[in-house]
Formats: sequence, structure tokens, C-alpha cells
Amino acid sequence: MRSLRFPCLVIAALLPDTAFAHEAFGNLGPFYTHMLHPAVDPSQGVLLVGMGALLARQPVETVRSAYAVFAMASALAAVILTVLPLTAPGVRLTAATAVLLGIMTAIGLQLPRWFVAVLCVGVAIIAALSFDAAPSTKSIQTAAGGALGLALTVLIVWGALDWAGERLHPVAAAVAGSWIAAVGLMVMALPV
Amino acid sequence: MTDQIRWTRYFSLACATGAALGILIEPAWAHSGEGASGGFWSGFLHPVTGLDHLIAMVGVGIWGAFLGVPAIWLLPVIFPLVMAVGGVIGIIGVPLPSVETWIAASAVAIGLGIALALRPPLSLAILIVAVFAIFHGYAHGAEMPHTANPLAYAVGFVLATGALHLCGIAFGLLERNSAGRIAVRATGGVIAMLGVGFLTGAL
Repeated sequence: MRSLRFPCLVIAALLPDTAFAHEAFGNLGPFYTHMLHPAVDPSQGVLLVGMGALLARQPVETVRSAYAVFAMASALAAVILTVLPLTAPGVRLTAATAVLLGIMTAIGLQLPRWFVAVLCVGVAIIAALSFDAAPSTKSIQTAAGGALGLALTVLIVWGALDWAGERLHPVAAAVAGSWIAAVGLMVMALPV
Repeated sequence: MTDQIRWTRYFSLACATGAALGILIEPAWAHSGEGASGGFWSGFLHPVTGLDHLIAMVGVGIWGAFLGVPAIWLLPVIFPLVMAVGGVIGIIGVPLPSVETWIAASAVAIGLGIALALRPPLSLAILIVAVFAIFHGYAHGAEMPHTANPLAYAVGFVLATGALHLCGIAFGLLERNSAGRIAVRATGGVIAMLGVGFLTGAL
């Protein structure tokens, strides 16, 4: 019976109705707002999940260099965005990139290292441009939070899919790829 | 017991627990939730709350598991991609005939496939699932342009569809033992009967 205590506690905690009366996060300040941005902006989130899924289908040697390139490109793009207020990419560009990433992930092509690195730079730039480019007095926090948010999201997705591929089935990343491509395909068809 | 089998069991348990909690918990949404989350939840709940979609999606997963490798991983990869093509047809407004009939027919066909333990050639199974995926995608896609946040809606409904497939696969893996095989085939029969209910307008 002792072993049942924890599951019972969890179920008891989850059962009461939840009241979502107010904004989930409130004003967290520029650092956390930018760090958590991929979780609340679907267009940025889809791209980053697609990038993580693509990396999960590549050999770990390729991932090591590609992820370093992605993290550096994200940091650079986030810093540039604090001084140059660039406009966000069009939704069709984001969707087309998602389709490309998703299909390559679903097929499971082993891509050359340089190509994965180029993709990482491209995705990092498009994802960084999805941040709100409004000038902020706390530009260091904005840039650091943004860069960390992009890098962490890709790392978490890659880690989760790599783990699922090893523990559950190697096709886990391919399934995620097909989901990303499906989302991108439909969004591309939406009237602008 | 190998790691993979152990984790597959944990995964099946997690799916079952998630489904049970999903039924038990009824959150109170103090506000409409439109905006950032409205599109996502609308999309996510569409396949989950529509019984005709739900049984077909779960059925595809069960049938994939029933057919074994490589269908177990090919069907869940192909279904969302072809479904997106159906979604595109719906978004751009090309009319498709008798969408609801095709959706109900998909439940009947897939349910019968499971109940009768049909193992067609892989190409035929893919073709059957792909044809039905078009109509499921169409039903979702036709609604998308009218939602508050179409991108979030798309993410929500693709995630829900995929999650239903995975639940179906997890359940379908039970067919590896004799008692489980009976349960899986009986579920196929229930899916087919529900499909007949939708097809005849009884449900």
C-alpha cells in the first residue's frame, strides 16, 4: 500500500477543478519573456521543434557542430535584433521552412555537416526575427533571454526525441517531422 | 525485459493514465481563452471531442500496431502528411463530396480491418489510410481560416491527431498476447459499429 501513496497524492492533486482566471505568466520582464517566447509563439515554436527533430535524425557527430553553430547564430541574431529593429518574417516563409525541416526529418536523410550548419543558421535567424523587436532599455536581458530560449528549445526537443528514439522506437523523430511538415503545409495555404 | 519493452510499457501506462485523467478532470475556464491559446485548444479539441474523428484516429494507430513493422511507423508518419493535403484542399475551398460520410466510412473500414484481423499488402493499407486522411484533414482545414489563430489551431489539431495515433499504437501493441489480441479485435468491432452508427445517422 505504501507504493500507492505517491500515485494517490498525484491524482488527488490533479482532480480538483482548475481556475484559469488570469494570464498564466504576467509580466516576467524582458529576460524570461524572451526565454519563454518559443512556448507561446507557435510560429517560432514550430521552427525550433522542426530544427530539434531534424538534429535528432542526424548522427551525433553532426549534431555537436551543428548545435554549436545554431547556438552562436541565435545569440548573434538576438544581439543584432536589439540594435536593429528588423521586421518579423512572413508566416509563409516560416511555414515553408517548417515543411522543409519536417520532410527532411520524416525521410531521415543523412545530410552533409555543412548543409545542417547552414540550415541551423537560417532557422536561428528566422526564429530570432520572430521576437518582438520593440526597443527595450534592458537590451542585454532581452538578447540573453532570447538566445537562451532558442538554444534551450532546440536542445530540449533534440534530447527528448533522441531519448524517445533510443528507448521507444527510432521512428519517433520521423513522426515528429511529419507533424511539423503537416502544420507547415496547411499554414502555407492560409490566405495572408 | 529489454529497455525498449519496459519503456513501451511505461508509455502505454502513461497514455492510459493521461486518458483517464482527461476524462476525470474538468477545468474551469474563467475566460474564453481566445487569442494566444484559443486557436491551439480549438484545434486540439476538435479531433478529441469529435467521436467520429477520435475513433478513426485511434483506429489507425491500432491497425498500424496490428499490421506490425513497417506499418506501425509508416501509417502514423503518412497519415498527418496526407491529412495536411486534405487540410489544404479545405482551406482553399475546393468542395469535396460527402465528407462526413467518408469520415464515418473510415471508422467502419479501419474497425473491420482490426476486428477481422485483415492484413492487406502494405501499399493497400497505406492507400486506404491515405484516402481517409484526406477527408479528415478536409474537415479540419475548412474550419481553419475562420479561427482566431490558424497556426496555433493547426499545431493543436496535428498534435491531437498524432497523440491519438500514439494511444492507438500503445493499445494495439497489446495484441502480442492472446488476451490482448481479443481486446484489440473487440475494440476494432466497437469502432466499426460506431462507424456504422455515424454512417446511418443513428449517432
